[in-house]
Amino acid sequence: MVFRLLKARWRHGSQAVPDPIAAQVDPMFRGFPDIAKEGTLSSETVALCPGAALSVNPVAIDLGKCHLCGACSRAANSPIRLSSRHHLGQTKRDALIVTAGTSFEQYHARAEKGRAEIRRLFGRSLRLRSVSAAGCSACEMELNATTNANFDMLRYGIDIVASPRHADAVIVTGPVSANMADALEDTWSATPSPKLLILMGACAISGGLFAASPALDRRFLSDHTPDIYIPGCPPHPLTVVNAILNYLGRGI
Amino acid sequence: MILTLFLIGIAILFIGSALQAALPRSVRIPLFTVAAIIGLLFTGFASVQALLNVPTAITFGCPFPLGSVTLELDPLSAFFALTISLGGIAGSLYGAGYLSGYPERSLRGHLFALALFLISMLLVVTVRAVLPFLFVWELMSLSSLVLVFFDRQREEVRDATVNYFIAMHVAFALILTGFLLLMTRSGSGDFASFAAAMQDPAFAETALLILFAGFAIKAGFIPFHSWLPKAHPAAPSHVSGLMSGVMIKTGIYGILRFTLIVGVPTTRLAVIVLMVAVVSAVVGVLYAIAQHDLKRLLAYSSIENIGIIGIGIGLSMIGMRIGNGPLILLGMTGALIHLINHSLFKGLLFYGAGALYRATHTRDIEKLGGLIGKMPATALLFIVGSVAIAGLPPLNGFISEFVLYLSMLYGAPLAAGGYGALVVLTAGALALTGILALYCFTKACGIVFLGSPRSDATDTARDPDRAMIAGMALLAVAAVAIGLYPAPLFSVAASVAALYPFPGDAAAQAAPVVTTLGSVSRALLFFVLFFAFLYYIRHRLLAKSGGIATAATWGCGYRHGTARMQYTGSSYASPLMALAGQLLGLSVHREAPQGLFPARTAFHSHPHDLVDSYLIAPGAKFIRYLFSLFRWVQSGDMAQYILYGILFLAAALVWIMGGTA
Amino acid sequence: MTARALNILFLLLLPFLMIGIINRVKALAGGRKGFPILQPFIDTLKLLRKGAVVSRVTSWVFAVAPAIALAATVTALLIAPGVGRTQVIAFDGDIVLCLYLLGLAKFFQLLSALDTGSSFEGMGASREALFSVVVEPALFLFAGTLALASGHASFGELFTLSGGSAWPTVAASAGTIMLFLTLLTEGCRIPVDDPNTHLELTMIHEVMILDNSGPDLAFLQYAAALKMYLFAALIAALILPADIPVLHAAFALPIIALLCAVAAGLVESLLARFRMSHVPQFLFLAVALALITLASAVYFRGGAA
Repeated sequence: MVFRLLKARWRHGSQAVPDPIAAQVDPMFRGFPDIAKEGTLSSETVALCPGAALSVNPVAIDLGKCHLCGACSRAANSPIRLSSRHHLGQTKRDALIVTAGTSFEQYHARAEKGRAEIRRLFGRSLRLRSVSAAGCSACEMELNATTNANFDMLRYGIDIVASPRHADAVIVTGPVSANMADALEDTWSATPSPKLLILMGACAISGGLFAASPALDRRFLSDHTPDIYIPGCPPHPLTVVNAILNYLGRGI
Repeated sequence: MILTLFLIGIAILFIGSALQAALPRSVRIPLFTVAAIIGLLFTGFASVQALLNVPTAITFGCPFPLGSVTLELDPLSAFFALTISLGGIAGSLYGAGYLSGYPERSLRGHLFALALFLISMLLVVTVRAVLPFLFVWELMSLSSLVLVFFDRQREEVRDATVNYFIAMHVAFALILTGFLLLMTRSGSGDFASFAAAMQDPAFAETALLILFAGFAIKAGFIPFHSWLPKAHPAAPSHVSGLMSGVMIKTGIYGILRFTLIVGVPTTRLAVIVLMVAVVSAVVGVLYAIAQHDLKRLLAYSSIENIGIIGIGIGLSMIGMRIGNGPLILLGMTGALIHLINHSLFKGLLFYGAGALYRATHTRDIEKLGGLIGKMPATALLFIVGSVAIAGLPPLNGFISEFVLYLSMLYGAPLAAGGYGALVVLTAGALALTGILALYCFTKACGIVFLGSPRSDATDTARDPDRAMIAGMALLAVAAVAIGLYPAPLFSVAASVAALYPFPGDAAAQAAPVVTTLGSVSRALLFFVLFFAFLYYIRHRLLAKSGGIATAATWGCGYRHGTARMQYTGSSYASPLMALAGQLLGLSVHREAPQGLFPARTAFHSHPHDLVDSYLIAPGAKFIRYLFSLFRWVQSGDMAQYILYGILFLAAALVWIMGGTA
Repeated sequence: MTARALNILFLLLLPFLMIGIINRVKALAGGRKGFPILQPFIDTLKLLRKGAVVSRVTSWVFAVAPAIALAATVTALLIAPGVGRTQVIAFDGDIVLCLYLLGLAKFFQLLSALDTGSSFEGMGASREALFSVVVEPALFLFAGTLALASGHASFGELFTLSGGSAWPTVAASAGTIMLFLTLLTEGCRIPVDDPNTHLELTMIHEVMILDNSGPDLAFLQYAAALKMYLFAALIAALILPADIPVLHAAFALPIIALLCAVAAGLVESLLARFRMSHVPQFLFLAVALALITLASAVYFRGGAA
């Protein structure tokens, strides 16, 4: 049995992505929206957006509500093209709004790094506690993928832990229903300070598809300021890894 | 002179207890306590002096049939007298507090019996002839019976008292038989003359086996132990502490005294003692782990510790047969140190259990929890006692186990053939006992004091009054002191062990061990200082960083957890019970959840003492059956009874007349 | 003197290095990069600078237990044989103090787990207690057997195997396997416990520290690594030749410790944790090996007195 395992390992080889920071994703990936300076969106196109992320005058996409589905880019005469740039993380909510003519470089430059003490403390060792707050599990699966053999964020000292007492950051996925509100609150108070709050996915950042649902209770997020926003539905593992690394001062 | 002090101490005890019976209720307890403490200080002081220079014996005349009685305080007697005195002082102090909780009881008889109990134990270890010994032995049994019978309104107590009465008299019968057998060879009732029995080793072996069986019942070796887990919980806590801590040691005294006088006739006897001790130690602690009644747990733990003492004695006896110096000296010394250590920490634990019972009115640990907040002093003292009884450094329990291990490490290479392997296997058994004791006492402390309360029994709990705390604190301080500075106790115990036949110079064997114990103390001092340093660093680090925040225990975000969802005592013991449950007669009663939306389920497990269930209970039933065959004699008919009288007189007349004819 | 200083240096550096190597071996076996080898050191430095969250249900026992556990484990390691079998603290019977200090650490860790009033922690505590029950007697049987064969009573001398017959080979082989099993048990590694599981019902040691944070967690993790290193050091003491020069021993000890780490990493990569009911059966193997060693000691000394 041992030989079969060793043979399988030999055949698989090492599957780790060599450099997650510099890595490129497949061109099919729907990433950063390039919005042409001229052009406008019709009201039907605006209504197409599942997350109500679109606005006009100027044309803008709120990445916090955007599910990166690409429907707006496929509409007739749409100024929006989804590139495959995947470094989408930000540290402020309003930095997630992409207006017409904003280049990716300008967008990415808005992403700040954490405070110096935070970077010194967590720069090489960060432990995450995941709270799955009534989402569809897509974000949870991608978060899981960040620790797999391909993306392997363990190499940067980042890992997911079993108890919030052992964690340095709470990473929330899902829109936060009323049933999960207490659990999220308990997880946060169980995490020792200094601690970070990370929101992953459109649902966590803005409620996403479910924003109008009466089942949600997002008061926790108004009482606590998140430190990192990771847009997407679900965000690519490389987006997650790079958003965190950028915050810690280790990204590009 | 020393013996005069000793007798003065006994007299003070006696007079104090007699006086309190005549005085009003309000002064009884204080008078008795003061008299007991002063009296025991005298006897304790006399014992310490006797250990340093052996006094000459004194003889005085007593009414018939005792005749002239000799009292002697050789090192062995003095060691036991010291143990009794120390245990008695703490017990009296604690008892003063405990008994004040019974304002409605007159306590005259109880306090008098308590004094007689202490006095008879002191005399048991100092008399030197058969009749006086049996007299004070019986006095000890009877006075302890009165003490156990304190809460006589409870059926459990009545049953336990009867059980204890029978067990003690079976023991008495065996001891008497042993003495009679030895007397056939010695010709006199004087103990020193028993040495003559050694001329016929096979005979001496049989006599000693019977004699030791009697003492083993008193000490609580398995399979002679079944009275212990009934009597010790039934007695009030100050009595339990004295019985477990001091009285059962008189059984050990008997074994040690007659080993000293007669010697070890055959190696088989020594191996039997060792085997009985190993079984007592391992099975005793396994039973302790299975219990949910705290005092029963402590009673079985006493059986375990008697087993450990027996291991030391057994090794020493084997050593005497094969001429193995380290086994003889260090085995015996380890047994003696453990003897006094056990009386200290077992007393402490029983007194803690008493404080718990007083505070919560239950002995069932499954109803307790979280008491460290409401009873901080009791909790701290109980935890100290638990660390000590688990044999962990830096407390005294470690020292006695260390000396026993030393005897095995030094003795094994010198023991030829299979004996070396036997010694090593005994080391494994001692290690097993130690780790099981750790398991047992993490259960006891953890379930009772830590976590959250499992029922409302703990609602009104508070620490007991100062006298009770003082009694416990005294013992805890002694435990810590001996643990950190063991050399004096070791030297004293070694001088007692040196009484036994040793090849070569016992002092030369003991001296390096004193140095080793010094190294142990230094290592432990380093540990304590390093712990303080680490705790200080933790304090400073937390002050500088985020500080300490409080929150609920992490339960994965589930907010409807209750204290009943905690681990219980039986849950904590269950992995071990899965392995050893058969041995412990563990009966499990399970009510499975029924239906689609089950509302109720129950689980209950209870250990049964196998010796009691399979040996004693059927035996008792059989004896009751035999007696029931003669029930027709007690018809209740007065005419029939008068007829019995007439028949008896007629038969007597015929016999007398037949004799003269 | 230098040997003692090296012992202290090694006990500071090697435990976390061993953990780093185990993680690296597991990562390589999984075809990934994994944590950097020095990650445990970095994690500890971070934890020391973090705050703590303490459960309202706990008491002073919870607060002092990590410090007691670490102090006891460090003291035990000062007694254990290090470079060339020299010990920082040595005396006859020191093996007893060493193992009982580990017992003291365990006692307080068990109490600390019960102090939280959490059902998971109680479960982990009872399982951990059970495993010790099987492993401790095996260790003492082994120590007693070594005393029987060597006539000495101090750690360094006990573990010096000598004799012309097959005894040293038998003792070293059986002893190494037994000590490696103990390393896996006390270090809480597969197949006895899974250090990476997130399911509380499958945790043993991890769940006992579920409620510890900040410096307390750092102390407990270091204590666990130290225990693992202690058994690796014992393996080194057992298999190295009796007359090895100090310089060679100074290199041999870390190499053996790291080899033990590699072996533990391979075991973790190739096996899964055993079913809970099978773990005690697995641990009885340690007892069996100790008894085999005892039997061979009696057999081989038949020639001697």
